[in-house]
Parts: sequence; C-alpha cells; structure tokens
Amino acid sequence: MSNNYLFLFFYLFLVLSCNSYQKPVESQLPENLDEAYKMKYTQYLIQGKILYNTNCTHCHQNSGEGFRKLYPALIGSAALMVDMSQAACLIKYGTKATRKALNQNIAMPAQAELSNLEIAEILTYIGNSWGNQSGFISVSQVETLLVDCATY
Amino acid sequence: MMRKHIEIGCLFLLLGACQEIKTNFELPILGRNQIATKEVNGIFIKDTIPHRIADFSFINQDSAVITNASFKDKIYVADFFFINCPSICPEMSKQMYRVYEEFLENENVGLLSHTIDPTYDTVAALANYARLLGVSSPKWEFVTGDKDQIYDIGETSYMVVANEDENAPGGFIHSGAFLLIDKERRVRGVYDGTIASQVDLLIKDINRLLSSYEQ
Ligand code: HEC
Repeated sequence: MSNNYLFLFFYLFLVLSCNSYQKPVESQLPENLDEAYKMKYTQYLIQGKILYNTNCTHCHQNSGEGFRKLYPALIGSAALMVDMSQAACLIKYGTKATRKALNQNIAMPAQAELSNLEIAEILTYIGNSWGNQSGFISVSQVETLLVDCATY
Repeated sequence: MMRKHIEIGCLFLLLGACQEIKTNFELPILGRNQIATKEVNGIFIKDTIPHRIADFSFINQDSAVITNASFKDKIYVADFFFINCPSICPEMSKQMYRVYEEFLENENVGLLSHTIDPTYDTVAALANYARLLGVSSPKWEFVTGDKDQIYDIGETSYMVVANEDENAPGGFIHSGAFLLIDKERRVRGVYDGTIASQVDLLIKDINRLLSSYEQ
C-alpha cells in the first residue's frame, strides 16, 4: 500500500517538474509578458519544436538553415517574415498552393493533415527561433492566413 | 583466480585479432554467383560467374546517354530516388552530397542517381535538381529513362527495392541504399544512405577499394 503512495508521489513530482515550461534555447520570447500569455507562448514554442522536428527537419534541417538551394533556409525567410500567408499556405497545401512559383525551386509537399492549431504552433516556433522574430501566431490568425491560398 | 586472468587475456587477444582483421579485410563481392558450365578440351567444367551490374543505357541531366561505359575505369556509388520524395530522399541527397564533396577531385570515383519517377523527373527536372544542389556531370550523373528498365536494374542488378506503391509516401516504395560498385561492375558494399555513420563507412570503403587497385 505505502509503495503505491510512493509511486503516486514520484509520478506527481515528474508531472510537476515537466510543467515548469522551458522555452527551446534557440527561441525568442518577448520580455514583460503577463504570466498567462507567457505560458501559452512557451507552450506553442515547445509544441512547435516537436512538430517541426517530425515534419520539417529532414528538409529544412535542425536549425532552419536549409540545405543547398534545394531546401531553402527558414532563417530570415521572406515567405515567413514578410508575407506569412505564403508560409502558412506552403505548410498546409504545398508549393502548388502558393500564388507565385518561387524561383524554380523544387516543390514542397502538402501537409494537409496538420490542424490549424499545429500550424500556429509551428509558425510560432519557426517565426521566433534562430534569430527570426515575428511574434506569437494564434489559431485565428492561421485561419486568416489560409483564406487566400490559391488552389489549383 | 589465475584461470580467470588467462581467460580475460584470451578474450582481449581475440578482440585484438578481430580488430586486426577488420582494418585489413578486402571488401566482399556481393550478390548470387551464377554457375555456368563450359567445355574445355572436351571436358565440361563449372565456372562461377560473379554477380555483375547488367548493361544499361539511360539519359542524364544534360541529355547525354549514360551507359556502363561512362563508368569505365571508375568505381561508383549508385542510388535510387525521386525529386518529389517527401520522406527519405532529402537525407539521401544530403549524405550523397558528402560523398560528392569528399571525392570531387578524384576522377576514379563517380556517382549515379536513378530516378524512379521518370514521368515527373524529366531531363529538365533533373537538370534543375542538379543545379539547385550545385553539382554537375560527369562526377554526379542523375539519370532517367524507361521506367521498367530502371526498376528492373534496381531489383536485379543493384538488389534494391524500387517500385510504384500508392500507399508509400510520395507514391513510390524504395530503399535508401547506396551501392558501391567496383571497376568490374561488381557490388562491393551496401549502405543505408539515410544514416551518417553508414556513409562514413562508405567513404572509408571507397578509399579502401581505390587503394586495392593501386597494388
Ligand atoms: C520534402 C521536403 C520538405 C519538407 C518536409 C518541408 N519543406 Fe518547406 N520547403 C521545401 C521546399 C523545396 C521549399 C521551396 C518551395 C517553393 O519555393 O515553392 C520549401 C519552402 C518553405 C518555406 C518558404 C521558404 C522561403 O522563404 O522560400 C517555408 C516557410 C517552409 N518551407 C516551411 C516548412 C515547414 C514549417 C515544414 C514542416 C511543417 C516544411 N517546410 C516541410 C521542402 C520541404
């Protein structure tokens, strides 16, 4: 019986220690955020990193540096920083959905199975890591970003 | 007590011996041998013919015809990929690029990447791919051609899986293997082209195979 309690305490300890959110070291977090917002922001960065690592690193590499001219760098990417709808549309629908073909690149595949929440987390992560700074991206912002994707 | 020490000593000796063998061994010749009977002076004798890469003829990124003769007096690394491959090919390209850089100056080494999606990967598409990667022929040939011929040589000569499969990512099932082929068209090694340490080994084996020709 007492053994069970010990396990329970251990489990609680684990859960609690995981809960003290740590943002990924490569990500930026604006200062002076209120606690609730900061927590949500950090949560998006953490989730975004996990999603990025499973869905994007094999092309764009671990630190968003890209590979040769085949897979563009996400660091300082205009499609991400200047016109984020391009990035959102690319992620969801692939190259064929972007309005203009970006200079003769090979195509990025669609990842239509990603939810708007997941895209928001990914955009928050890649938009605020490795020196990129484009702020928090919410789910409703993603909805707006995806409105205009051309579908061929 | 003493016995234990001796046993441990033996173990080290054995391990040491293995180490020795490992650094000096000659690369194996892979594939199933064919047995042919031939007649010599009225007597039938059995002859083993080692597995060799069959004759092929494909078109490269510059529209040039590439055949076995293009790799005459060269050892080469072959693989199978396609441009719109969402899963393992990006890593394969990255790893093959390491081999490219390593042997850029060595004209005894070539690379041969076959597309398994010739419908989409036309000569122009392959040329664009090579341009984006920043590599060129004759060091790195990207070839396309008759689909059946590509699948056939993949399976029978290079012994890798390459086929259409609508359930696989991108619509094709294929292995990420890199094959090391010697000057006699024999397969001398198979490496997983998606794992950096396997490609480290490939680079070592290329050097080993090259030096076997110098003796
Ligand atoms: C199979 C390889 C591949 C995967 C996986 C992939 N991308 Fe891409 N990505 C590309 C290619 C190729 C381009 C260039 C596409 C174009 O120009 O149309 C690109 C372009 C982009 C761009 C625009 C960059 C610029 O400035 O030109 C962004 C942003 C991006 N990808 C983000 C992502 C994210 C986030 C993921 C994961 C959810 C991802 N990509 C997964 C291959 C990939």
